[in-house]
Amino acid sequence: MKQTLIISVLIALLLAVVVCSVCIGAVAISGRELLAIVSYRFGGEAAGFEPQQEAVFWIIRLPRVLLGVLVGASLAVAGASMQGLFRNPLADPGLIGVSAGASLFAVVMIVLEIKVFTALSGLLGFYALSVFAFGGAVITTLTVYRLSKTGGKAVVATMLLAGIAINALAGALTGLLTYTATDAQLRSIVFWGLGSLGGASWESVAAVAPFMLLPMIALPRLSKALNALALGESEAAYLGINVKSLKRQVILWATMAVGTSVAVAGTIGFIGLVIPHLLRLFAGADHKLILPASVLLGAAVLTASDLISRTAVAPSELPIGIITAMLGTPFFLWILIKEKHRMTTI
Amino acid sequence: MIQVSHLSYRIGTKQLLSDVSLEAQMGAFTAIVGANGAGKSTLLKVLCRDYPLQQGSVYFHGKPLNSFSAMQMAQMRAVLSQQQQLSLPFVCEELVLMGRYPHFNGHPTPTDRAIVDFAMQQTDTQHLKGRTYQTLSGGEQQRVQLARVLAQITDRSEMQAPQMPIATPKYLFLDEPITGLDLLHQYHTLDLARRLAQKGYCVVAVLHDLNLAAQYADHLIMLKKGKVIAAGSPQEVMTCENIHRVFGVEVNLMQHPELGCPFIVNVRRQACATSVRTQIVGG
Repeated sequence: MKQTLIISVLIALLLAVVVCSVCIGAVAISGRELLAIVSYRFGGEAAGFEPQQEAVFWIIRLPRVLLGVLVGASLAVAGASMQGLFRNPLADPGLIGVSAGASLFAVVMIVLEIKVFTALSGLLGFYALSVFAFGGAVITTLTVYRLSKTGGKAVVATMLLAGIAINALAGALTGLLTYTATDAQLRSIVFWGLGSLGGASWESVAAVAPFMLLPMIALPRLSKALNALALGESEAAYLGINVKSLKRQVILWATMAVGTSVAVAGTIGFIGLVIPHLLRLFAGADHKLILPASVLLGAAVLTASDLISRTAVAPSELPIGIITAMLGTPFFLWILIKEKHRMTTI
Repeated sequence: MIQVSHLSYRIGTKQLLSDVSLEAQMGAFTAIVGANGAGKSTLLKVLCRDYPLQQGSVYFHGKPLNSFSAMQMAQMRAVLSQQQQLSLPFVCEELVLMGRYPHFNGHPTPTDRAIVDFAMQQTDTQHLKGRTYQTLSGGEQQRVQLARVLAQITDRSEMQAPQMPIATPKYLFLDEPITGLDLLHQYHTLDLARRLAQKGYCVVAVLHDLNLAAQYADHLIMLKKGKVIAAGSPQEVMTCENIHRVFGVEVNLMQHPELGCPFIVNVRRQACATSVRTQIVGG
């Protein structure tokens, strides 16, 4: 079956990328050493590797790779289901203000350093910024959703327009704050805005994992309904789909996935838009395949990008958002041109 | 059977349907005709619960329309709408399979697959199975959608014995099903609708072509400005007076040589129409 083939290839790809990612870096770990490290943890003998390698693997590399897998998978599956909801292959969670809202709130927190926030930081420690950014994502999305409601129905076209307006507003406010920021704040804003998995630790992985795994499980369960929705809202209703509840669920899960990932890794563009698009070129539009495939390919691509971001200019690090856009865009354009050519020659 | 009584529908101050009462029998092909903006599609949308019931009542085999759950409705009633744009690249077979969604959870059963095949065969779209919907012509798209709609309300027993009367009430709504189809497939589609009606389906279609409506429908309903002007057999409804009243044109009517139904042969020029009275030629 074509479906099983695609999924197996993607699983193999993800595993390969994960293994490469944990092995390559300032401290190199060979495949044999990796096996020795893992078997030691599960009761094997302590031989065949350096203690430093073990520490780097367990404390630095593995949590970072896992965070990359989670963030990439969340962004891609949220993007794919948003495109299904908006019935538009160009839709992106960014469109309804998720990323802009999260960014705005994070910048507010970085720049204003108000007492409430410092108190919050005391309470939540490392997570304060993430929690605040997540709150921003939820608030903007809810605002956009409310604005788009006419007579109890969320109108998709209005939702896009409201999203653009809210994005512009959030962008302007973020710009205003950036303008007034000090040099130190500016660095942290820039780095945060371009995305990075540098903050990965077992604590941060554990903190975000539930909020990313839930949407990853919940969204593919909506694939039948999203397929039906592609026919149009009325047609989906004729097929017995509760369109209102479908919209709510997709928005809830996508906001949770993207909000959490922005909160932990900053804004990383490109993945949510392009991964599903790329998959559709090979695998068609069936959400039953596209959603799980997006989880796998998104995870693989983001992990690979992170590998490049931390090795390309080692010992320094490039923001991952730059990598995904710089490598992804030409690749995406190449696919588009190829596809255009194929379509015209049929 | 569908019973509609004193149905009114308005959007803002615009009255789209006023005091519409009608019946559509099981085992009959009911055609709704009328000029543009007469309220044909609005009526269909109220029957499909696309628009809420504002005033009046609608009963499906004796039960109020709103007493059915969305799922119950989806299992007994299918709708072919006018606009069929798709922005995601679905393969036709997947699209037709969507018609089976109300009947399975998770994965389609072999029966669902067989019904998809059957529906595609019935609509002459089997050869399009593996094609991407967007690459089809408008008429082909329309037929693939018809296959999906058919798959939604076909059950296993119908595949095994296509001529047998159906066991449970089923409803098929078609909104201008033949617009954009070539001549062969126009006949094909209407034949199919008629065969379903003969098997016991309640088929309700909005049609623009009065001649085809008269040939295929058992029951005609003529609408003008949201009101029922005439309802009954094609012979009763298709009169020069009614056509003039509803469409504002004077026509000549003939009797169809084989079917015996009325038939419009030519539209007179307005200038002659004022002096010459309408008449039925032949028959």
